[in-house]
Amino acid sequence: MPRTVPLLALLAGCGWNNLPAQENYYVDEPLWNSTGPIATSDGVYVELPAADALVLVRADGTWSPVDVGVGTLDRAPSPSPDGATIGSFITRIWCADGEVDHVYVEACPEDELEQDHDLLLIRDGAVGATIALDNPYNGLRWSADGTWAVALIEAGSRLNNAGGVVSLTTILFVDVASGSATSVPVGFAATDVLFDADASRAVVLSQSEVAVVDLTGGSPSVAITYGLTLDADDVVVPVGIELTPDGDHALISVEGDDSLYILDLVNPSVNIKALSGAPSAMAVNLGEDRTILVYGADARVDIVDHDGFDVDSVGLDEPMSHILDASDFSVLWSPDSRDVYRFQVTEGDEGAIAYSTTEYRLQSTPLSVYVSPDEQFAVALTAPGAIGGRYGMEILDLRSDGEGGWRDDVWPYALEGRGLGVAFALEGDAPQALVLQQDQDYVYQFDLMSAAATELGLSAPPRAIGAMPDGGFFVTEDVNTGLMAFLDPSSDAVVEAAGFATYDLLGQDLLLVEED
Amino acid sequence: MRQSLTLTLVALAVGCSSDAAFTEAYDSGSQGAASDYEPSASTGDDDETPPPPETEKDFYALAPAQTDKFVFIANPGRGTVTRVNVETLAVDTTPVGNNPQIVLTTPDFATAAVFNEDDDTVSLIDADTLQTLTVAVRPDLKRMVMSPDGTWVALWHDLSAVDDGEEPDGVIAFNEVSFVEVRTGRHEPLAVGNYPHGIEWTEGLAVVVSDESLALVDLDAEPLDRELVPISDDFVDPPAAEEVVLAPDASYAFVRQFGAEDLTIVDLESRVVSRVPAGANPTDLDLTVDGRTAVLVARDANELWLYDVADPFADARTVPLSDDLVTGSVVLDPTGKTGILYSTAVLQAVYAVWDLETDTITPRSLVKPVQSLSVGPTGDSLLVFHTVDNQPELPTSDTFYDASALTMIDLSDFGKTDVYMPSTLKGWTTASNGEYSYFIMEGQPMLGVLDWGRLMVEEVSLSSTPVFVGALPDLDETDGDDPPAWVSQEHELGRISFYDADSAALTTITGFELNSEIEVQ
Amino acid sequence: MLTTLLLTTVSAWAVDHEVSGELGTLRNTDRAYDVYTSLNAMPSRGLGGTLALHERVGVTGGWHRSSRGSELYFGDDSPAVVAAFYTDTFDLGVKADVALGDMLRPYVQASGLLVRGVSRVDDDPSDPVSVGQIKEAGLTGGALGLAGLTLRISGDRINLPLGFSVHAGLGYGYVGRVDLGDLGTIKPGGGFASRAGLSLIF
Repeated sequence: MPRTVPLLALLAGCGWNNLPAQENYYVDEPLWNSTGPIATSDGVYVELPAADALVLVRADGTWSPVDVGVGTLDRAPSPSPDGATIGSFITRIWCADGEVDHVYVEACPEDELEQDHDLLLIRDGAVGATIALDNPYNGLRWSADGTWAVALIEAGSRLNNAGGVVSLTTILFVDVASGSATSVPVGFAATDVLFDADASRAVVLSQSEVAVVDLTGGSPSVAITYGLTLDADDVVVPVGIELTPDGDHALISVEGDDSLYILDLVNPSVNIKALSGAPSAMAVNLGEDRTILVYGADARVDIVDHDGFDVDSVGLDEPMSHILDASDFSVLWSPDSRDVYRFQVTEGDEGAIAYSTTEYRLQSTPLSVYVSPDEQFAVALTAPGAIGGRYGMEILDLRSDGEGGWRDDVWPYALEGRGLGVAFALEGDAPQALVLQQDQDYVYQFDLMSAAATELGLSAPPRAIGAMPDGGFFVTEDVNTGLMAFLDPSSDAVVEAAGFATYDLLGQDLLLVEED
Repeated sequence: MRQSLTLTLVALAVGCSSDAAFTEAYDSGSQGAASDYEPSASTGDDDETPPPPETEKDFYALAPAQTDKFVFIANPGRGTVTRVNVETLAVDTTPVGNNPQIVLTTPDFATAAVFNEDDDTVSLIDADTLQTLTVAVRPDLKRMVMSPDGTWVALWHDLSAVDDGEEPDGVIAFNEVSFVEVRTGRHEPLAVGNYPHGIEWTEGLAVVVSDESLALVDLDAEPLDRELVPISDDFVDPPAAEEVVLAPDASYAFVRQFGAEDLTIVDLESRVVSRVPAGANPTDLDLTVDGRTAVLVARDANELWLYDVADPFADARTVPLSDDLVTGSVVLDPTGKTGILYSTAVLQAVYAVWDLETDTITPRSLVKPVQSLSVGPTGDSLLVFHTVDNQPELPTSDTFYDASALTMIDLSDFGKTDVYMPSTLKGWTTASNGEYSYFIMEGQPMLGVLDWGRLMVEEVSLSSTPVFVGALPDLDETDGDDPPAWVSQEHELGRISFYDADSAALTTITGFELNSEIEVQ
Repeated sequence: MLTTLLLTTVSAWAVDHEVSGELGTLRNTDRAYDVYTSLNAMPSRGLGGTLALHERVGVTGGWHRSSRGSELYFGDDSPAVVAAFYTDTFDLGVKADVALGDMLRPYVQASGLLVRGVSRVDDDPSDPVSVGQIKEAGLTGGALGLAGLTLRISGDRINLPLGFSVHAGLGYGYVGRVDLGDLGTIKPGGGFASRAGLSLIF
């Protein structure tokens, strides 16, 4: 008997130490999208591209699949701004030859394959509404209050696999509450949709055209159409749009042009302002009711007031290409410059307008910049350079200097790995920066006031960090079978959920749905 | 071909003021663009080559259309007219006919009349509501003018408005005039004398001027009644009727004919044509502000001949002119006290001031010869635009040699400011209160502002090269607020700027032609 | 001790008591199985035994183990995950044969199957304990039918208390679908089956 024990043990196989792996198997897509989870009040929705599935991971460490049915999820889901709903496009394939035995796509004659496209509105971990699409839409835009979603075909999409004739001039307005959908004809290749504050109308950007859609009637309908060119040969591609805070005007920048189109949405008319060049970024500063524009190749910032839309220009030392908006100031930065600017518009007692520019000089060029919610600090994750050849983190002091000006202090730190992301928390009154570093299995919690730091341990190096609506955070970790940690900075508690990325690992082949 | 706002063909008609003095000043050149000065003008010293006729700015008929608060801009390429509210900068565009070329506004600012050249129609637009009535007129007409009271517009085939090389298309008659009643849209086509080249208006009467005849049109008759009155004895090659002036009471029409030694007088009541002696080579004819005297400049005689309008057949009173200058033209100031004597036919850098009360003629020097000049609406200012060509005595080292220039002259003390211009004049205007004048130049993206109070010039940068300039009328000169000037500029989508001289603020609207592409469901 | 007991009681029967070591295979064309291997079959190894109840009939039983796995690659060439699938198949059935002389024994066999399928997915095979290890298991049943030939050398022939035999059989097997929880389902076998082995007979 003692001789049979090792024999039986050998025959029975081992545990995790010697898994058989006689072959290789290639998967076109990753098991899970570790950098694009969507935090909602229900939990974190994670897309599983290989399995065409969606799972909901909860802060208590549990997870469950979202039953989206058989089909292919076309793109990463899109969350509504209010965090209550996510939208996901799905393509369902069926065989039109009348045979009921088909299970796999290969079994159906190619000329009998048909496609249906649906939009799924998902809430509370389940599909709340399914909207049948007459067009292979693959992009979503949301109103700020989450009551409207607009489906469109994203620019540059390949439509090779889309069945049937595709309309390139319609978009779909979806009433999220009722699930009703209305096709609205707009211009060719709609690229973006912006809603006004009360979601009473939407402004749709298309090639050489802007449409204003009225949402107050029974169903959405085009109220006004603005042409952006008089010559059909002259194609104008709008790339950026902002609405003035009162919603009366739309400011539109166009590709490769220094024109800023100002559309009066109340008394329909067009006015064009000449800018210093084609802007790299544009943002409405709500506090001062002005629009700020920067140019990647020109060291200046343009300010457009929302009364007469006059353009003022302020010179900078170096060109900026990004704008971060705070309540009454803007942070300007560029990955090509070590300068970061705090830019503020102030109005004096007699209505005189003044511009204050505070320059921060970093030790290395920034890869990304984040402003703390209390707007007292900014955190820049920087490229390797002057900081001992290592990736860095530099803290910018945005606070007032108490003498009518602003501090310009910068505190540089060398990180252990490339900074992947920053989230902010509040411990009492002290703002905390939670910093992720590549290949480092901890979250670096940095007190921006006291400069004290702690490390919150993780099981694996992180990939991304995000904020939960309840104030907590989630961190995705570099584990291919799925690992996510939920952090509560106030208690340093960490709860992990694992394995969700293997959901339906065995169901990767395209399955046919039954013909309705 | 893309229509740019070069808009050399775009007509922006002047907003007519009911101010007679302003009208007269308009006739004398207070608004308009630079004329094409003929480089062959002589210095006056060569006896064998007589000086050419005096030139006036009559092709400045393509003036901007404005009311008290709106500016109307025609968009020929899109068959629309854009209305800009100067106060709010609100822009509205309304469709009219094809190729709108001329826009005129009534003096009560209630209506804009638009001539659509390709459609042979006139669009009558309510300035406030933009409601439009379209009236078909006779084909192939080129010019449209409006009666001073705004009751009628008249259109005819003006040969001077035909582009070089433009060939007639189809059957064309050159003696047709279309009258359109602005209020009702009633169209009355009439045949008048051949090749009409102007219309003069008076109470209830329009006088259509041709070289061989005057067509007297009774505007009170329905249908309109016209009577041809021959004014030349030479029916084969009649002399050009260069100028016609009507007596304010519609009693007489005074006709100055090219090369004549007399003045033709037509009794508008009896239709009798008479001639009275005039000096040698009369080159200009004007009425004084009070309408009592017709002033004729006899250039070769170097005299002014003054006729009593009430009794033109009485002997004319002559005023000898200074030998220091050649006098071919006269401009009378709105106050009726002063006249400016000058010539555009010779290169002389001199003008003379004529005191109408004392008949004193005082020559004064200029920096360069005169291209055109204008007395301000208040009679206090004289604005002179000079030729590029130089007077013989100008040294080549002079700053103004071969340069464009203008001169601001204060007529109260004859203080003046000579202004060097980097380019030739393209257009100018004077505010109705006379405080500011504005000018634009060829290819220069700037607006020149002439401050008559300080006798100084300011330069305002524009975003693109200007096309037309105008100034809104000041309806309340006691409120201390000057209405803005506007200047349209080259831009493929339309650009216009408004300049407020009080605050020195420039506001620009660009892209208003896109408003024709706005569809409101 | 069990072997001695069997030898002393049934040495007179035509169906031998036997204990064998076997290799086998069962066809598996399930799409889910493709994750683990490109083979359309599950090779196995195991143990079997026969208890003779009659001259021609005996009860058979046994256990077979199959294990296949793959390294899963996602887009790039770095191995990311190892996925393995094991089956433990327990069979119980009957076997009948006829004697063709002393050495050849054609036989037929029918068995009921109890199959336990286990799938392991490991994000980091080098780490025996990590959070990236996922295991799911399930049970199902099936049936197996074989027909084959045994070549036997009895103990008497070689003057030994035990004889030897070699057998090989072909047939058909059917296995139901196994639920592997969140990983999905898999049908571990269905179709052509074979088993061959080396036995001790007594």
